[in-house]
Parts: sequence; structure tokens; C-alpha cells
Amino acid sequence: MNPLVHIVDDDSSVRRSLSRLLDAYGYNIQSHDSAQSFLLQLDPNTPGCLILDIRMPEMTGMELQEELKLRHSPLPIIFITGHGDIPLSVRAMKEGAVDFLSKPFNNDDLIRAVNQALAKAKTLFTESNEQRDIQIRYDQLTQRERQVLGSVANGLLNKQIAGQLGIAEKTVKVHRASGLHKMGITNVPSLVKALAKIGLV
Amino acid sequence: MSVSSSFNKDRSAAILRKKTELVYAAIGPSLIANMLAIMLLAAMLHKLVPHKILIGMSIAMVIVLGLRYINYWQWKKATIGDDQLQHWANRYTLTLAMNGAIWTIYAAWVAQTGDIPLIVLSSFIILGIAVGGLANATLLRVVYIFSGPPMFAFGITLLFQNIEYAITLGLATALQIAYIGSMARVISRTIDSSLSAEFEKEFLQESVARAAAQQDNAVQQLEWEIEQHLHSQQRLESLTANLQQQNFSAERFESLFANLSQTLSELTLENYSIQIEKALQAIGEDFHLNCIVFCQINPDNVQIHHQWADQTKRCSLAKHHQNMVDTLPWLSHSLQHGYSRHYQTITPLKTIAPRDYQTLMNSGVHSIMAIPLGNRTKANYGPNWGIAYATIGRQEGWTEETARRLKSLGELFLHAILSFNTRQALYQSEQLFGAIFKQSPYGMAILHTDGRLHRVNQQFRAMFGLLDKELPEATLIDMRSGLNTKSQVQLKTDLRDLVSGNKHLVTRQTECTLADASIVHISANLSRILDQNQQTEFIILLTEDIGEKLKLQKRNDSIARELEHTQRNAMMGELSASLAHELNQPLTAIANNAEFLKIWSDKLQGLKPENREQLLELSTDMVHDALRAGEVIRRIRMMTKPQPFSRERINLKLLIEQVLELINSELIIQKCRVNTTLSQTLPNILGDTIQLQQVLINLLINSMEAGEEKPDIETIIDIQTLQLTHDSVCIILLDNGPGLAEGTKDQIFDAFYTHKKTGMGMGLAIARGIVESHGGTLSAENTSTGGARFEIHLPVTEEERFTPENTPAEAAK
Repeated sequence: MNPLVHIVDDDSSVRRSLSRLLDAYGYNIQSHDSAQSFLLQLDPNTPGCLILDIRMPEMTGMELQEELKLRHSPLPIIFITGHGDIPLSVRAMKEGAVDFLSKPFNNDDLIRAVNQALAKAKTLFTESNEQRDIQIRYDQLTQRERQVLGSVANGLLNKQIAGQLGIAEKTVKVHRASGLHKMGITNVPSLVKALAKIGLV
Repeated sequence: MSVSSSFNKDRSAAILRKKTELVYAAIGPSLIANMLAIMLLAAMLHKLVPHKILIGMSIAMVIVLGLRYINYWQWKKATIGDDQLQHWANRYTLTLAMNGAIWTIYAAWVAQTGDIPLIVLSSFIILGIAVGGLANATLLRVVYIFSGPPMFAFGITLLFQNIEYAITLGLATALQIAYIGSMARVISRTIDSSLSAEFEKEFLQESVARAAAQQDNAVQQLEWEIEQHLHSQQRLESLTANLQQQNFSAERFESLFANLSQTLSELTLENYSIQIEKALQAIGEDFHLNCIVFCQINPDNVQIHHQWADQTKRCSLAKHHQNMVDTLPWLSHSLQHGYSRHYQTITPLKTIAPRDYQTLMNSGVHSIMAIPLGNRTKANYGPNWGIAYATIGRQEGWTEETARRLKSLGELFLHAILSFNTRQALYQSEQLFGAIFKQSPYGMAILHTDGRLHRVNQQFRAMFGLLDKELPEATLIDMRSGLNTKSQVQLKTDLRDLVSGNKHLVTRQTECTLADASIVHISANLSRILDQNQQTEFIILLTEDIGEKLKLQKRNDSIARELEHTQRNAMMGELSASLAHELNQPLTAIANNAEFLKIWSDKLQGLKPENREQLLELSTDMVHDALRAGEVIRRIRMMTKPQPFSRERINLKLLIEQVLELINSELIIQKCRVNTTLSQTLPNILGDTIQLQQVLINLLINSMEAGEEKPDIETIIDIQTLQLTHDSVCIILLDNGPGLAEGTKDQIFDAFYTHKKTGMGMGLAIARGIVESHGGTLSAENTSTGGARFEIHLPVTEEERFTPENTPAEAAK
């Protein structure tokens, strides 16, 4: 799937000139005149990046950045601003922005930033897809299976797990086999890796 | 007397007895009614007639009525027969004679009192009783006459015997009624007057008016009285005294007058009272008077100013400074209206002025004379003066000569007292002026028109280092402690202007070198004193050392300048920030579009190579220039960025108090009240005093101006400080103005946003900028009561909060 470059700026001249330019460079463009309309059209699965104006009415760029974070969106952000406030740029970078460009910006700076953002997006979205896959499988496990697999990944023996949960060792074995089967994993190291990816170990 | 038959005689006697009984049955109650009427009359007369007379009258009445009752009782008992009738008639006559005797004794007693109204009154009563008795008897006889022939002769006899008594009784009744009628008005007024002081006043005024109109009559009455009393022993005595006074030679009067003039012209504040009293005493002794009262007459009161009384007689008409209108209304009114009054005896006052009479009686005064003083017309009711002379135990005739002399003496007094008062006022005003001159905190000097010093006060000496005795002949201009050349020239011009009358008042501020070579800043105020011809006679110079004032003013000026500077800087910063944003937007679009042109020129078909080259060059230049313009803006921004503020520990309480002091005059002009609730224990913050002051001033001025939109209520601003958390403090400003307009809560902090006609819309933007650069926040909302509420949150000075890692502003540097 081709990555998408989102442009969010309330100034139509800026928005149109940016779209035109990036289109000429061969990027897939989607432009929005406000943070709200962007959020409405956002497809969380489509990889891409966001060129975001800071100073906008109603919802500012910084507020949108926070909102995306809440939604676990991995979209990398390039901030553009006519204001050039240093404290603002520092805050934006700390929050994980890829770049911070002061208007008017150099063409080369822009392209470099976009490419950098898209490269980051690629890994972020792949990781994101993998995670989502593991998560879906994990969500199918029963409560008992989750407990057992969790203990297995922590390196406990079947006997220990049985003692801990107060069930028979044989039952532990059954849950373990069924859990691993559901996760599509055959060995313990892979299980540890997978659980680590969704932050359970 | 002839009798026809015994039967007829018996019958007639029975009829006669029957009729007589009938008549006397009526007389019995009428006697009692008569007595009651007389008692009532006596009670009413109580207000007018002294007690002893009333008692006398009452006793007489009781005796008379008692006798008549005995008479009646005997009559009832008597058997009818000629002898008895004759006997009864004799008794009746005797009774009448006794009645007459008693009334005669009473009349004699009344006559010896010499009280004319009482004599007249008693005469009426006695005559009335006599005539009434006669008429009554006549009526009775008529009854007998027509009751039958046997009684005829007896009736005729009785008729002649008692006709007098019958007429007397009838007439007495009529006269009593007439008298009561005539007295009724007087009596009712008297009774009313005791109930209503106001009515009394009216009555008094009426009396005064009547008396004024009948002045001639009064004189005649007085002459008549004098004639009456010529026959009395007392009159003889007074005549003797008068003769003595007439002997009081003109020469002696002249010498008394001269002495008094001398005494009174030497009045001083110390001997004033004593001298006046001495003079009054001299008059009193020479004229054989016992009491002299000198009083001030005002339209609504008459106050005693000086009084002399013969110690042996213990006379006192009124207390010092007491209002004589209360005690002697008639005399006071006379004086107030400019009439002089003199009475040889006070008896005439009894009816026309009972209260005066009472007062004078109580004081034992026999004769009195009151004279208004001064050239007053009737229309002039301003304060004036009067003098009253009185004698005790002796009647004074007040001859024309005596009255004239006493009046001239009164005038002499008046003149002396008035001139003393004038001197006194002059002296006091001189004293006051002296004190002002001496104690004034300003240096004062009186200059001659050529600039020479005439008189200076202590402050002026101290200011210019003049010794106590030293008052240089030199002019102010060439005094050794002096003005610089420019000021000297200035002063010369000013003096000339003042002398010529071109200017009335000159105010200058100048430096002056003192004798000890120190330099003072003085403010000098020159004004002129005019003589009678409206020419400048002297010039008053008022000087004040304004060194301290100037220093204070300088300090205030410098603070104001600094504030203004900060304000301007901050405004430029905010302005350039907004400008930068507005310009950078289109520049970005231009740069992007030009960049796009560069790419597009490669793809354009059918373009000559040189044109393509040109297009590429053109768009490259456009990109370059757009970026260059952006760079220019960035540099301006850097230049006008808010100055890095100084970091000092700031006590918010102190800061707010300084701010209120700075804009105090503004608050007063705008009639704005500020209430503060400042926490004493607030931790310090780190920041720039000037910038934070500017924030507070901005907010306060906003509130003040908002208050102007509600001119009918007083603008009240509340300032509170409090600590919200351990690491932040809060300043809250509340006003009672119209509050923020609907939906503008966020906009108000934007640059160029304003709803004021003359505002730039920078104030709040700058304020927020400053607060944020201190790591704080500034927010606004409306209060529930409609005013605006601004909240400033500032971090407290904990060292870790201001390390570079934790402060965004620091980290950016």
C-alpha cells in the first residue's frame, strides 16, 4: 500500500501549494483544512505521515498531536509554523515529532523531512501490523490459557504453574498446548518474543 | 290698714302664705345659684386678682348670703298676721342694712388698696347687689299688692320700704352679667395664655402694636396716673426725689460725662469688665438708680451684656447673657422696635404686660426706663443696643431732662463698647496675621517694589541663612546667597511685571545657592499687595524647598519611563510575532509554488530550451527571494523578542502594593476602589519586577476602563493572592465591570484583539506573553456576578523548578 502524506493547514494558499509541490514529487497527498476533518477521514491502517500546522483555530497542531497519541496512531508528524517559537518546537520534538520547519521552508528540508517521516512510518506501521496480529490471537485465548502462557513465558515449569494455580499438572499441559496452538507458536522463545511485542512480558 | 271680715282675712292670709311660700321656694335655690355664680366668678378672677382680694370677697359673700338665708328661714316660720308681717319687714330691712354695712366695709377696704381696676370692679358688684336687691323687693311687693285687698296696705308699706332693695338686686344681676361678659374675653385669654405660649406671644405682639398705635394715649394715661398719685404719700416722696434730681446741676452732669468718656476710652481687654461696671456704678450713684442693664438687641433676642446693680438692693433683672425676651417681653419688644419706655410705677404694666410686671415685681423694681440706642430706623432690625435704668424702693419720675441725660450716657456707652470691639477685632486680626507669618511652613518675605526686603519670617531666614538681626539693605537680587544670573534676570522681570500690574501672581521654580554654598531647589510664589490707589505697595514672596519633592518626582518619572520602555519593547515583540505569522504564510505558499514551477518546467512539453532555462531561473529566484523575505522576518523577530528578563526574588505582596502606589492617582481620578486580600506567608517567586508590574498595571487599567462602562456604580477591584499548590502561587483580580463579551474568552489574549475604540489590542497579549515567559499562565473568565476575573499562576522559587532541564524557556536557550 502506498504511504499517504496528510497535510493539515488552515491557510488554503499554503495547503494548496504544498499539495501541488509534493504531488509533483510523486507523493500520495491528502489535504485537510482542519484537525477535525483530518481526524474524521483518518484510516488508522494506512501508513503515511502528517505535515501539520501548529497555529490553527479550534484544535491546534499540538492538540492534534496529543489526540493521535491517545489513539495509538503511529503517524509521524512534521510540524510547520509561521511563528517559529523555540519553546514550542522543543515541546513538539519531545512529544515525538519528526521535524519542525519554520515557514517559509526550504524545499530540500521539506523533502528530506517527508522521506524521513515515511521511512519511520514504514517500520512503525509494520510493527504496528504485527502487534495487531498478535493481539488478535492473544484476545482469542481463554482466561486460564493466558495465565498459563504468561507463566510459561516467565520461565516456570508445568509443575510450578500447577501449584500456583491450584490445578493438576495434566490440566496445565492441556492449556499450554491449546494456547500455543491458538497463538500459532510452536516453541517457548517465540512465545516470549510475541508477548514482549504486545508488552506483556 | 283696714280689714273687711275675719273669714276674708283668714282666707287672704292663707293665700298670702301659700304665695309667699311659693316665691321663697324659688328664692332658696336662686340664693344658692347666686352664691355659686359668685364663687365661679371669683375662681375666674383668680388669674387676674391677687389672692387676698379674692378671699375678702368670698368672706363678704358668705356673710351676706348667710344673713339672707336666716332672713328667709324666719320668713318661712312666721305666722301670717299684721304684727308678724310688720316684724318680718323690720327684720328684712335690718338685714338689708347689715348687707349694706358689710359691703360698705368691703368697699372701703378695696378703696384703700388704690388699685383702680379692683375699685371699679368692686363698685360694679356692690352697686349691682344694692340695685338688684331693691328690684327683687319691688317684685315681691307687687305680688303682695295683687294677692288681695287685706294685704294691700301692707304691700304698699313694704313696697316703699323695700323698693330700693328690689331695684338693687335686679340691677346687680344685670351688671354682674355685663361685667362677667366684659371680663370673659380677658379671662379666657388669660386662661388660654397659660395653656399656649404661642397665643401669648401673639397677644403680646398685638399689645405691642396697640401700644405703639396708642402712644399718645399712653402718654395721656401716664399724665393721668401722675395726677392720681399726686395725692398719695409716695407721690410726695418721688416728687421730693425729682426735685432733688432737678437740682442735679448741668455742671455736675458735664463732669460725670467727661469722666465717663475718659474711663471708657481707656478700655483694654484686661480692665474691660471692671471699667464698664465702674462707669455704670458712677451713673447709678449720681442719678440715684439701683440697677442699670446694657443689652444687645437682636431681631429674635435681647441679651444682657453688662449689668450693674446696687449691692444693697440686690436687684437683678436678668442673668448675664440671658435672653431678656423671656423675662421682660414687653420692654424687649419695645426696644426691638425702637421705642423707649419709662414708667414711674410698674402698675400700668400689670394689664398690658403681665409677665414684665411679674418679673419687675419679683425684683422689687418701682420705676423703670428702657431706651434704645444707636441710629436705628424702624426698618433696620440688625443687632442694636439698648440700656435700661431701674429704681428700687423709690419712684422715679423720669423727667425729660433726666431721660435725655440718661440717653446721652447710654450713647456714650454704646460708642465706647463699639469702638472697643473694633479695636479688639483689629488687634486679633493683627495677631492672627503675625502668627501666620511667623509659623508658616513656607519661607515668607515682604519685599519693597525695588526688591529690597521689608520683613521676613524665620523659615525664610533659615532657608537663606540670614542671621536674626540681619535684614540686608541689599535687594533680593544681589543678596550674597543668591540666584544664578538667569534667575536674577527672571526675578527682575517678574518684579517689574508685578509692580506695573502686568501680572498678579508669578510662580517660579529655581535653584538657589545658599550662604554655605549648598544648592537648594526652591519654588517661589510672588504676588502683590495693593495700596488704596490700586498701586503695588509691597510684594509677598512665598518660598518652599522643593528638593525632596523634585527627587520623588524624578524617581516616579524614571519608574514610569522604565515601564513605558518595557511596554514598548513588549509591544514591538508581540507586533513582530503577529506580523511574522501573517507574512510567513503567503511567503510559504510563494516558495512552494515557485518550487513546483521548477519541477513543472522540466515536464512541460514543447518549450524552447532557452525558455525552459528562463522559467527555471525565474522560479529559482522566486524561491530564493521568498526564503530571503522569511529570513528577514526571522531576524526582525530575533531583534524584537522580549528581552531576557532579570531574575530576582519577588515578594508578590510587595509587588502588588508597589503597583497600587504607582497607579494610585489614576485610581483616584477614575473613582475606583481596590480591595486587597494579600497573603502574608506567600513564598517568593523568581522574575522580572518591571515586567510583572506591567502585567498587573495592564490588568488593573483594563478593569478600570471596563468600569467606565458602568458609570452609575463605583468600580471595585478585588486583588487576592493565594498559594494553590506547594509549587505555584496565584494572583486573582476581580472587578465589577461588565465582564468579558460572550464567546471572547479565548480571543482577548490575541494580539490586535480589542473592543475598545482606542485600544491597540496588545495589552493582554503582552501580559500573557510575560506571564508565560515566567513559566506561568494567565486566564480570564466571567464571575457569577457579571464582572471579569483574571487569574495569574506563577511558579514559586524552588531551585529545581528553574533548572534548565525543567523550564522550557531555559532549555531553548
